[in-house]
Amino acid sequence: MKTESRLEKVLAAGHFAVTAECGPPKGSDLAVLEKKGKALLGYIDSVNVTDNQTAIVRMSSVAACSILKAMGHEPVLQMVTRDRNRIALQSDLFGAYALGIRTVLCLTGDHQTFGNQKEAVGVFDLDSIQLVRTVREMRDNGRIIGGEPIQGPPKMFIGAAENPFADPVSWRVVRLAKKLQAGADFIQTQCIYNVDRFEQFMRQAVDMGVTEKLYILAGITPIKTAGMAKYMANKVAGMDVPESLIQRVAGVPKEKQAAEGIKIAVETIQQVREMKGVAGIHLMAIEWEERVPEILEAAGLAKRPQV
Amino acid sequence: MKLVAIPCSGKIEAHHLLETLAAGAHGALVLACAEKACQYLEGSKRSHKRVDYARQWLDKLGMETDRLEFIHIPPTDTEALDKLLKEFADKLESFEKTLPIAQTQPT
Amino acid sequence: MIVAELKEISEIRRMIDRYSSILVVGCDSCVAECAAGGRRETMLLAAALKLSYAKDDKQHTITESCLDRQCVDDFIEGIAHLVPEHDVLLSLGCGAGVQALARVYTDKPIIPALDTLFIGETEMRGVWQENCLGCGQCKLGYFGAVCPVTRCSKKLMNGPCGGSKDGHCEVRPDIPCGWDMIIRRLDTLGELDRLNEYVPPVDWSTSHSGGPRRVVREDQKP
Repeated sequence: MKTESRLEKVLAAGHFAVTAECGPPKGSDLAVLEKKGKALLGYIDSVNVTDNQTAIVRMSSVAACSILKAMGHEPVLQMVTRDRNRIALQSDLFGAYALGIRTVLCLTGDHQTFGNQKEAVGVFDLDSIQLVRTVREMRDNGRIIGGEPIQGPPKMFIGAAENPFADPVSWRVVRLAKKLQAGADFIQTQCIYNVDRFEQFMRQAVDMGVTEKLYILAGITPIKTAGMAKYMANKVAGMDVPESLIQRVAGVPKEKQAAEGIKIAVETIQQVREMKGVAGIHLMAIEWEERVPEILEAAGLAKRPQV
Repeated sequence: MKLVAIPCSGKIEAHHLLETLAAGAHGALVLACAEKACQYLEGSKRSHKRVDYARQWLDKLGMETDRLEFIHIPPTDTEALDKLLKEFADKLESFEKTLPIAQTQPT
Repeated sequence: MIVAELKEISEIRRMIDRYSSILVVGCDSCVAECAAGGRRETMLLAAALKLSYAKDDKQHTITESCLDRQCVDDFIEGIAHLVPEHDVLLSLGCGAGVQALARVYTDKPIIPALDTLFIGETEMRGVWQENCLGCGQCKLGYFGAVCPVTRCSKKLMNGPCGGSKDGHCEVRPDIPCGWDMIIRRLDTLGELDRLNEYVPPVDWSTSHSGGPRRVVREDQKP
């Protein structure tokens, strides 16, 4: 074991891991956060806390992680490189570890033009791969960028994201290998709707030997409405939503679409579970956290292992 | 009305047109050979674009864009030319406010 | 070269309305190339301002002149004879030119008529593309001569982000994904192997992050 991370323990023991996502509130309202936290408690191995996702200002991920930890959760701190330079990022890692956080997901982050502070400067001092390497250096060598030793180095279980559906397609597995080389311990993928294409990606990852060195968790996001499916297909970068899927959801009356979306999510979970190299799922039911328990129950994953 | 002869309408730049107005002219009409008859091939085409650009400037300045016009005219059709010039002059007269000549400077 | 665009006439007017005698100074280098501040544009702006003031019944004296290059001390002296009789210099130079004028003509306000945008190239008449951010540590050779700092909206050094779609950047579909360009170029050149190596965090201290930069060459001094 490299760290004290519960997620690492679950994966190392060979269990099919379940992580979910929690977006902090657009303010300091604790009640919102606590409500989401309660809905997920007990059903998952770890909860990802997003970092100003889509460049919309939200409560800081470190703070929200700390609050969820106090509730009994095992948080995964998401860190984007868009908003903070290497001084702030390394500083936040120190602080997060001191607050009991043991897992971090290193991301670049959506461009600031997506959010509600479009006029902000985009920092991007580091990219996500450099951040992965930085966190590894801290853990394995106890040093910050530049080599200075750390007083009490954070030992984090390190994650990165991968999007099997982004272009250039041929490049995705190469970039995955680069993240592995940099020190990624686990990967959470972008949400999957095109199962065939994901399967191709997994086969390549297995062939390259990547899955023997890191854990891949398949991203799942349940569709709420046909409108949501269409929006994702057309407006969100890096999404592959097959027309057949949109038609399937659009084909049922509006009040039944959510249930259909959940059904699809459960089916997808069952399909990816069969694929070689898939070590777990990452369930991103954004602003729909209360449906996570039923999805996991239906998929037979609701009972989390004791580690 | 002042007539200025030039070898090709393509010699006209957008700033010439604005300078003409700034010098006190109420309007300027660029008469060009028929498009296919341009001896310099693209001269009249470019001139047309520049007149359009100068009109955009007039729009930005809050002035009547019709003070500037570009017309292809067969050089031998004096009757048509006469009619055109009269119409243009009438139009300029109809503009509510023409530029005070005294306040502008000669180019 | 440096690419700039003309400001809105309303903004220019707001900045110079308080002055009665205005010297409009153009630059015939970079900003002439991007049709923003060269000889023609200088004459056009001067004429437009005359019309604008006449329309508002205001009395302003407007003179125009154009320098070959507005950012070089020797060239700037070319308008020395015109400056004293004017209240203000309205510069159609890039930011460098505006400030160079201010350094030389210390007792005159210098107002910029342009918004300076970037270092870039002319792809064709009428189209200018940003391609250099002046990071001070050129690595173009490792990226197939496509700059990851400038052409990638996130300055990524180790490959594209998850938002790259059909060769387009997630920021706007008219922005080509810089990394898509890099990968294609290196693929054409048979040098994709260059991208297997980890690129460590960039040293930004040679960029503007390290403070405004200055180059001194003793061998070039008189």
